[in-house]
Amino acid sequence: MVEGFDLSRYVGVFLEEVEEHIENLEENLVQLEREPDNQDLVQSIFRSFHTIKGSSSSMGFQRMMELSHLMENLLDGVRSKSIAVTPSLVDVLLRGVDLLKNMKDTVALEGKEPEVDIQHITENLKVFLKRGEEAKVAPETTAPIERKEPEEKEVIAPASRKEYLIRVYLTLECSMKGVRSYLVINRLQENKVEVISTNPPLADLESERFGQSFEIVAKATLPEEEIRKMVESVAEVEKVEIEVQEELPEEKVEVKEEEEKEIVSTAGQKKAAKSLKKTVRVDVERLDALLNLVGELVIDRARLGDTIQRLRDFKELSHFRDLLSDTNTHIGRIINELQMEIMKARMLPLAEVFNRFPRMVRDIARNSGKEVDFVVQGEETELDRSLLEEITDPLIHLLRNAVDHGIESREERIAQGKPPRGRVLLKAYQEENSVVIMVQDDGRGLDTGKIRNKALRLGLASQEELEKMSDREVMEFIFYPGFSTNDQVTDVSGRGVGMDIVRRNMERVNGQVRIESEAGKGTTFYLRLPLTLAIIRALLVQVDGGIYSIPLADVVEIEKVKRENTYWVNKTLTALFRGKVLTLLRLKDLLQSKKAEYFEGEETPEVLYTVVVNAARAMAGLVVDEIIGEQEIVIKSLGSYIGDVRGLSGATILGDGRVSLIVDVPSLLWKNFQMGG
Amino acid sequence: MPGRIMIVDDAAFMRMMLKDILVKNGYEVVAEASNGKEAVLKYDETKPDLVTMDITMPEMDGISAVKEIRKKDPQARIIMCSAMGQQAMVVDAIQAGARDFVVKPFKPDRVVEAVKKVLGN
Repeated sequence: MVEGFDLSRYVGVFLEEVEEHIENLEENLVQLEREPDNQDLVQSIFRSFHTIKGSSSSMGFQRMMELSHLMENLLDGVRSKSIAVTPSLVDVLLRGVDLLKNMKDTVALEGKEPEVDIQHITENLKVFLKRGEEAKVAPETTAPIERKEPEEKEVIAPASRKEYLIRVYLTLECSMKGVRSYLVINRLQENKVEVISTNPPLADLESERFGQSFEIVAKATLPEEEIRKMVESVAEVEKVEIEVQEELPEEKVEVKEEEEKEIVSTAGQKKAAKSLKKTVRVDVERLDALLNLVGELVIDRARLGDTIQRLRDFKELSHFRDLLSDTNTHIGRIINELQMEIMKARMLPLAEVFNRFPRMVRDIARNSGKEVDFVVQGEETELDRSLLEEITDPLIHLLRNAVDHGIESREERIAQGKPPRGRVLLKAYQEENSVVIMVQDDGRGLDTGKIRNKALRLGLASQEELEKMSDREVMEFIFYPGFSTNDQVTDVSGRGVGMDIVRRNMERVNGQVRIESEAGKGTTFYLRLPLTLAIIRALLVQVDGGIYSIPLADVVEIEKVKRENTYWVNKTLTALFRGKVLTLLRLKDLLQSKKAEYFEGEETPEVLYTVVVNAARAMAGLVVDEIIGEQEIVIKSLGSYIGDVRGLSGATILGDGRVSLIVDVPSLLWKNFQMGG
Repeated sequence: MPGRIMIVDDAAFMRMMLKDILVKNGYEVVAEASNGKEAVLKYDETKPDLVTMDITMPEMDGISAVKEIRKKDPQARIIMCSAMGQQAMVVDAIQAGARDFVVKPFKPDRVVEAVKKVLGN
C-alpha cells in the first residue's frame, strides 16, 4: 500500500475503471477466440490486464494484482506468438476475469479485497505460461500501439457565396418531423443551396430526435429572401429565421481529455485527475422527477389551450385571446425542447446490455456442444435507461432459447445441408418512435405441430379451434405461462417460464413481441419498444360516455364504415380494408371483456366509426361512438391499488381536467383472440 | 388561386373526405383514381394542377405512380398522403419528385396548407 494517501478516496474511480476493463475483456476475449490473429485485439486485452494490475497494486489489492499480472504475462506470450489462442486458453482467461469481477464486487461492498483462494486458477494460468516459455525461441519486440489521428477536412468556400444559418421552426402538431426536415433540406439542395451541416446532426433529424426546431448551415449565392421562400414553401413550417454569416466561424476542436494513461504505483494522483471530466453524475430519480414535472406542464398546457378555445365565445376578448394563444404556442415549443433534452439525458446505448451477451452466448454454446457465431449489430442505438433494465431478462431468455433450442448440433446441421456453424444475430435499430431489437437464429424453427399438441394437452384450445388457427396464431401459445416446447429441462432454459416473462416485461413498457419462424430455417423474435415512456401521441375516442386514448402507434387509419359496406363473414361483421377482411369489434365490449364481435342477426348502426388498429400482428377495426381527435398525452400509472388491469395501460388527464383511460390495444386483441374470437 | 386537383386513394372514404375538404376550400376536384395505374391514365386525360397521392394501393402503388407521372410531366405537383409509420416510403416519394406530404388521420387545415403551398399561394 502507498503510504500517505487516503486510498478510500480513489475506490470509486478504481471500481469504475476496473469494471470498464472487465467488460472490455469479456467482449474482447470472446472475439479473440474467433480472430486469434487480430493483433489489435491482443494489444487491447493486454492493456486491460496491465491497467488492472497497476491500479490494484496501488490500491494494495494483492490477489487482484497477482491474478491480472499472470494474465498479462499470458497475453504477452500471445502477442509474441509463443502461446497459441485456443478455446481452453480463452476459457481459463475468462474464468480469471470472472474471479477479478467477484473480487471487485467485494471491494465495492466491503471496501477491501476478499480472501478468496486464487491458487487453483493461478496454477492453471501458470501451466499455459510454462508451455509458452518452452515454445518461446526469442523474445520479439512488441508492436507499438498505433494511434490514429482524426482526419481533417478542409472546406474551401468560393468567395462569391455567403454562408447562412437557417433556423426552421415546425408547427407544434407536425407529425413525421424527420421526413419534414428531410423535405426542407431536399428543397434547398434542389435549388442549388449547399447544405454544410445541421444541428442536431442529420442522424438525429432522421430519427426525430429534436424538438420543434432545427438549424441548417448552408452556402449559396442566392439572396436571403429566396432561401426563406424555399423553406416556407414546405408545409408545416411555422417560422424561418435566417442569419447571414459573412465570416466562417472558427472550427471548434474538441480535445479529448481521456488520454491513455499508464498507471504506475503513484496512480492515485493520476486517477484523481482523470475523474475531473466535464460531466456531472445525476441520480436517475432526479431525471425521473424532472420528466414528471414536464408531464405536468404538458397537461397544464393542454388545459390552457382548452381555456383559450373557450374564450372564442367572447368577441371583445379576441385580442387577448390571440396573445394568449401565441404565448401558449411558445410555451408548447419550450416544453417540447425540454422534454427532448431530458429524454436524451436518460438515454443509454444498448451496448450497456449487449456487451455482456457475447460471453454468455459463448458459454451456453460451449456447454451445449454447439458451434455458434454470435453477431451483434446496432449496439449504439439508444434507449431510455429504465427500458434498458426491462429488456435485459427477456433478451437473456431469447438468446438462451436461440442457442439451446434453436440451433441444431453440428452433425444435424451438416445432415440438413446447412453451414456447420449456427448463427445468432442480435440487432437493434430505430424505427420511427420505437426501437426494435431482433433476436434471430438460423436453427430449426418453431415446431408448430408440437405446439398444437401441447396446447391441446394443456386444454388451451380445442381440436376444432386449433384446426382453424394459422401457424402464426399457434406460435402465440408459447407466450402462455408454463408453456414450453422442450421435452427436457436443461439447466439454462426449457423451464417454461421464459417466454411468459418476455411478453409480460414487454407489455409493462408498452412494447410488443412478434415471432417469425420457419421450420428448418430459423426463428426471429422482434421486440418493439417505445423511445419514450412517459408521453405519447394518442387518438381520443368516445365510448359509452367515456373518453379513451388509443396510442397512435397502434392506429393504422380511421374509417367511417357505412352499413352497406359491411359483410357477414363466419357470422361476424367485417369490412374490407385495403383488400383485406377486417373484423369489426365493439371497443365498449372489448373493454368489459365481453364478446366484442357483432353477430349475424344483430342490429348494426348506419355508420360505424372505426379505428383500424394493428398490434400483436393482428389487425382489427375497433368501433367507437365518436372520434374526438389526436393529442399528446402523459401516461399516468393506474396506481398499485388498482393493479394490473388487462386492456388498459394507464390513464391521462385531459385539457378540461377529465380523466381518460389509455387503451392497451395489443393485450385487448390478444385477450379477444384467447377467448376464441 | 383555385386549382384543379386529382385525388388518388384506394379507399373511397378517404377520397370522399379529401374531396369535401378541398371543395369546401374552393378547389375543383377534376378526377379521382383508386390506384396508381388509373392515376397515371387520368393524369394524362385531365392534366390537373395538383395530385394527392396515397401510398399503399393495389395495382400500382403511389410511389411508382409518382415516378410514372413525373416521367411524362416533370412539372407535376404531387402531395403524398401517408399513414403513420410510412416515413421511409414518404422519403422515397420525395426523391421521386413528390412536393410535400400530409399524414393521416387528416386535419383539414393541414391538407389545405400543403395544397396552398405546393400550388404556390
